[in-house]
Amino acid sequence: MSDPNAIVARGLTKSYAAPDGRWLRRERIRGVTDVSFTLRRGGSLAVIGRNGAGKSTLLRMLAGLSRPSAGELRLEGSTGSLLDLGAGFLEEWSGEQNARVALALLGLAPVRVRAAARFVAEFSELGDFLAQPVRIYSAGMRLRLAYSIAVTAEPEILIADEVLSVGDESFQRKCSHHILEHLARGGTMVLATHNLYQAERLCDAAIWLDDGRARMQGACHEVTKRYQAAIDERERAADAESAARRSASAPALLHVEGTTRADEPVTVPFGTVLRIGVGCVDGARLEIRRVDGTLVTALPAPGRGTVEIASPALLPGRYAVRLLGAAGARAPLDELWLDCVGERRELGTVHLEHQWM
Amino acid sequence: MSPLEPRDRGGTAILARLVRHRRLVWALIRRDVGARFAGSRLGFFWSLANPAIQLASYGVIFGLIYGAGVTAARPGEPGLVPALFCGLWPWWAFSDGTLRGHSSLVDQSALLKRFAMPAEVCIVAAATAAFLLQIVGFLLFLVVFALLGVLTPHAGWLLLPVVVVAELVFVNVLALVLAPLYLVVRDTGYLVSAALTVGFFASPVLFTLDALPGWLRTIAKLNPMAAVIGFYRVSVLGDAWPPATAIAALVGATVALLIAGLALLTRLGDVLDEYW
Repeated sequence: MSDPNAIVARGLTKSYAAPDGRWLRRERIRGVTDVSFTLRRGGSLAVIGRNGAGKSTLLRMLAGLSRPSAGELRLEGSTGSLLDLGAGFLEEWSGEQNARVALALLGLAPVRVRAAARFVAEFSELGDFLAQPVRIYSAGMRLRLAYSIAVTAEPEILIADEVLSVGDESFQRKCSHHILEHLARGGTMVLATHNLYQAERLCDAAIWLDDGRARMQGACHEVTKRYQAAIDERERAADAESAARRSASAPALLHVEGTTRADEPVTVPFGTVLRIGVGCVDGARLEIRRVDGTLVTALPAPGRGTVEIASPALLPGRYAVRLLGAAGARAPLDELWLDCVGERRELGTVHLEHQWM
Repeated sequence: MSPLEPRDRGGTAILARLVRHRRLVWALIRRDVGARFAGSRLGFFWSLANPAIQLASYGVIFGLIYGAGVTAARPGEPGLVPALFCGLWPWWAFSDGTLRGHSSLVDQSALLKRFAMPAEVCIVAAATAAFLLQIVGFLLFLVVFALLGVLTPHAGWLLLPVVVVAELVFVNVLALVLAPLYLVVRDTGYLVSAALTVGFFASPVLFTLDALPGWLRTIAKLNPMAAVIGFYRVSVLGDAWPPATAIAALVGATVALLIAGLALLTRLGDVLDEYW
C-alpha cells in the first residue's frame, strides 16, 4: 500500500478486428492508441471527448472488462465499475435474488453477501419492489438496483461512465452525493462524461481523448477549458456561415462600443464594462447566450440606444449577443460574438458579487 | 476482487486462475441453474420428466417392438431398461454440458460485459451446471430404481463419484476448446450439433460394444465416450470393464483437448473480449 498511485497506465492501446467479411481478418481498428497517465490514490480523473473518441474503450480496460492490446496497466486497490449498469440481470428473478448473485459475481464472500444485500435494499430505496421480478422494473429502478450493487463493496477505485445523467432526479442527487463522499473518504475515480460542469466539479485531473489519442491532459479546468474552446470553435464555424448569409442582407444593428464588426469575436477582458449599441425596432429583445445555448439574460430593448452592462459579470467563455424581433420571430435580427477572457476558478456563466465572511 | 487480470501467459496460469476464481465459478453455476428454472413452477420436475419419457420410449421400442432388445440377449444380464439408463443419462449429461459450455461465451455476453471474469471461468461454469443438472437426475433415478428393486445396490456404486468426475473433466476440456471457437466463428454451432447426433449413435448408448461386428467394434473402441459409458455400466450394473483402447482414447482425448483448449485461450486471450 506504499504506492501513492492508484492507476498507472503506460501506452495503453486497444484495437479491434475490423469485420471486413473475409475469412481471415487482418485489418485492425484502433479504439484507443498509446494513452498514458498516472492517477494518485484519492485522485479523480475526467475522461472527456466526442462520441467515439475512445472514452468507453479506455474505461472498459480500466475496469478489467477488456484487455489492452498493448501497453501496461496497473491498478492498486479494488475496482468497482459503473459501466453498462443494468446489464446481466435475470429478468424472471426478483431484485433481491439478482442482487445476491451479482454480489457473489463481484467476488463478495458468502458471509458478506447478507449484509451487502441489506445495504442494497436500503440504498436502492426499492422497498417492496425488491421481491418482484426485475422484468417489471422501470429503467430507473434497474439503474438504482445496479448502482447500489456496484457500490456496496465500497471499491477503492470507481470507474463511471455518464452514470449521473441517468435515472430520476432524486437518485441522481443521491449518486452524486455518494460519489462526493467516496472522494472525501480518499477514494479514487475515473469518470467519462460529456458534462464539463460535472467534470470540473468532481475531478481534479482530465484527459481529453480525440480519435483514440490523448489530445491534452492535465488539470481538469485547463483541459475542459481548451475542450470547450474547441467545441465552441466548431459550433461557431457552423454558425459563421448562417451569420454571413444574414449580414449580407441585413444592416448591422448591434455593435460593441469601441470595436468594429471586423473585430468579431470581440474580446472582453473579465472586469471591463460592456457597452453595446443597439439600433433597434420596437418590441425587440436583446439576448445573451453562452455558446452551449444557456440563456444568460433576455432584456427587453426600449428602442434605439446603448445598453451598458455595468457589472462585468460574464465568466470566461464564448457568448452570443442576439437581437430578436417581435415575439414569435425565431431568427435574430442581428448577432455578434463575445470572447470573455480572464483567469477565474468559478464555474457557471455569471460572476456574482460576493464576499466570504 | 481486482477484476483486472494480469496478462497471464500459458496454460498453467489459466488453470491457476480457475482455482483462484472457484467462488465465482460456483456463483455462476448457481445462477445458471436458477436461470434454467426461473419463471416455471415445476422447473426441476420438467427437467426429469423429459428424460424419463425418452427412457421409457426407448425401453418400449427395444423391449417390446424389437423383441429381444440389446443387452437382454445375454443371460444373467440386468434388464434392458437399466442398460439404457446407464447409456442414455451419461450421454445427456455429456451432450448438455458440451452444448452449454460451447455456447457459454455467447449466451453470457451480457454478464461478461458487466462483470470482469476470465473466459474460462464462464465456460467451465456453464458446462458444469448443465452437466450436474443431468447427473442429479441420474442419481435420483438410480435411487428410484433401487427402491423399485430394478437395480440392486452393490460396492461398485462407490465408484460412481470417480466416474462422474472423469466425465465432468472430459466435458469441460471439450468445452474449453469449443467455446472460444464458437465465439469467434459461429459456424461451429452447426458442426457441434451434427457431431453430437452422430456421436449419439456411434457411442454405445443404445447398444454395447460386444454387440458390434469385429471391424466396427475396432472403430467404436476409439471413441472416448465408449469408455465413459462403459465406466457407468461397470459401476452401476457390474458389467465388464470397457476395452483398454477406449480407456486410452478417453485419457488421450482429455489431455489433448486440455492442451488445445489452454493454448487456444492463451492465444485468443487478448481478443476474445472484442466479441462479447
